[in-house]
Amino acid sequence: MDTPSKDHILCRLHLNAVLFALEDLVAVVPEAKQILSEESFSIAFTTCSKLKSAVKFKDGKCEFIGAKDAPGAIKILYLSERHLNRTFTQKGFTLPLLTSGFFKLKQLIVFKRLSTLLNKYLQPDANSLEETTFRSKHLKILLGLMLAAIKELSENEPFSRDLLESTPDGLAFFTIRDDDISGWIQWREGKVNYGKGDPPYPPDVRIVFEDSAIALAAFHNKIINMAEIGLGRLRIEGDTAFAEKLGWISERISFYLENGRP
Amino acid sequence: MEDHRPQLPKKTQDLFERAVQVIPGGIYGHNSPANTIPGIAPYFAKRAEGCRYWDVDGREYIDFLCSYGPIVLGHNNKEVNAAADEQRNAGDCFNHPSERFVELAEYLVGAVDFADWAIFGKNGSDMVNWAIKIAREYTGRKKVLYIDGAYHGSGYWCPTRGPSGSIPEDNVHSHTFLWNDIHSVHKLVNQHKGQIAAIITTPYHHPGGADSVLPAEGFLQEIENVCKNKGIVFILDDIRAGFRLHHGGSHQAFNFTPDISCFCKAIANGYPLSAAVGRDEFKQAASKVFMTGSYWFSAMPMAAALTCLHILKRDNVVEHLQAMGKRLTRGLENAAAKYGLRVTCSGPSALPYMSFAEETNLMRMQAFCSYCMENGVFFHPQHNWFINAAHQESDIDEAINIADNAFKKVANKVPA
Repeated sequence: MDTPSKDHILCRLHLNAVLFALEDLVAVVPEAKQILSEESFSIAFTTCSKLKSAVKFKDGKCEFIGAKDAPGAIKILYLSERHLNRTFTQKGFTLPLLTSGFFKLKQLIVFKRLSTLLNKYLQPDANSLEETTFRSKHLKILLGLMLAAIKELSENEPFSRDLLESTPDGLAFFTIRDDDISGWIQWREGKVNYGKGDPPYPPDVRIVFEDSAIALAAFHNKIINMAEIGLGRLRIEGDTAFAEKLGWISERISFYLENGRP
Repeated sequence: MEDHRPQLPKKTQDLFERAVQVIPGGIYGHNSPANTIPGIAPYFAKRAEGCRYWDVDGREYIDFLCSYGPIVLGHNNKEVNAAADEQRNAGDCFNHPSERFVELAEYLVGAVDFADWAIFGKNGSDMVNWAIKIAREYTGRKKVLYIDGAYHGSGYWCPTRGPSGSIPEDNVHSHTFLWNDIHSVHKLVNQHKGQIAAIITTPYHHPGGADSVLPAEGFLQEIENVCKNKGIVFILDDIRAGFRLHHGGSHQAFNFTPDISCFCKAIANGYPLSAAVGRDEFKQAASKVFMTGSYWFSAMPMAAALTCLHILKRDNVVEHLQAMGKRLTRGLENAAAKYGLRVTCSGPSALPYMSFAEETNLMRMQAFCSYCMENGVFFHPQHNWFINAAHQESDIDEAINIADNAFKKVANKVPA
């Protein structure tokens, strides 16, 4: 695998992990449902380098379509991956090109409002996180984003790919004990699958956060894992080597999305 | 696995909470509780005697990890301690080496059949890193070949656990071959013709979290031939097994001869010392490579090593370790079978590695070790175990009885 640029990886994360998070946003945040109201539409994002991803809104729900075709979608074209990244991170001044759906201004406004709300849940202020209900929703959305991002990195970033290729097949199950939040990720025959809730097979490793506070700190790379494991606030049972590798990959998500290394 | 957070005993909890305030991770490296069974395993040791030790909360364990290997005669061995005490009273850390320095080098040169010289450090990594430098100095080449999945310490040249703190350039000259696959060795040697300084192996393959694998017939001998023919230095990392399988080094147990051998764990029964020995041909290169440390010449561990090595030979400890190891592994296999479980005990019986057949995720192994720890037997869930000279038949049988109950519990509770 050639070494892809940081912009390429970040673009993939925006298209396939951040957009995916809209599913959870609409599912768990009532305000998102209100914004969406009765609107039904799809929106597809494409770059000149042929990366694409779409989401569909219907019946008060959001469905992540990914790279599949979305007939009748509002289509937005970015001149480069960097262009998309700068727009998603609200750093860009160049507007993307609207190539289809010129007359769906209302839906575009709905999408813009959902994006702003998603941003609020993905990058909340400290006060919001003090509030239990908000924190729970934040964690639910973030867990989904992380699982999607791990899949994306595992398939497209040489470091992550190499790491998993040297790993036996396995299924990791994440739970936050004091909250109804769980998800799983599976590495099998060279492919990554993931999902919310209980896993389809018995897990090879269980990663249990004792409470949402420790999960929050862990998701934001603000804990020392060895210390929390020793104290029993983070439990990893089973194939610890697989969990450790997933941990190394997940650390890279924030490096990309929060503009750090690598 | 229990679906609740295990409660640490009070002193352990208090001490670990204090530790995390002032020490990264609380306890780091291979001693981190994260590497065993957090919440169940002991975190801090208080005292030890023979084949048993006690943690800070007074919990007693039959020790089958032996400090990850150094305790070969048993904890707190009186003879070794007496030799160390005598040297400590005379002085330990001087401006100069002591007489023990020369005596120990002479002993090793006499004990290891191919050795013409010896050097000393503190840890296994010191010796392995030094040996790699000697090979590079001697050959004027850069590359090192090592076994895929092997652990050779924490040197820059050898990727260890995880990417943290490393850069890709650290090991651009390190390449891996597959254990027991001589073709993968030949392939690399041909691919990097004239560039390989050293091939380093362990006497048998003991990867972390996986079964140990003995050398296939002729595998190590063929590596020896390749090294001779291509001017490559053959380094044996005998850190873990050295002096546990043969008094003269593990290569004699497997009938091959390296150019340099590195020892550590069993050399001084827990006193901090490592050593490397080599053939005359590499003596000049060894003298040129500058490797040293503030405590590398300390006399007390060398005095302890002289006595430890003497006892190992006098008491034929190798044979005892093998006999006790066999008793343990057979006992475990039989106990598991009673409950319809199949376990594999791989590697030499003096350093057995037990796993549940067909298990890849360690769930059963962790449940088994948890129960054993809770009942006074320390079996590590993903590292090979060690037998020491203080283990007697009664200790082994006691451990097997506890393991028997653990197997019963595992068979009932943990799905295959």
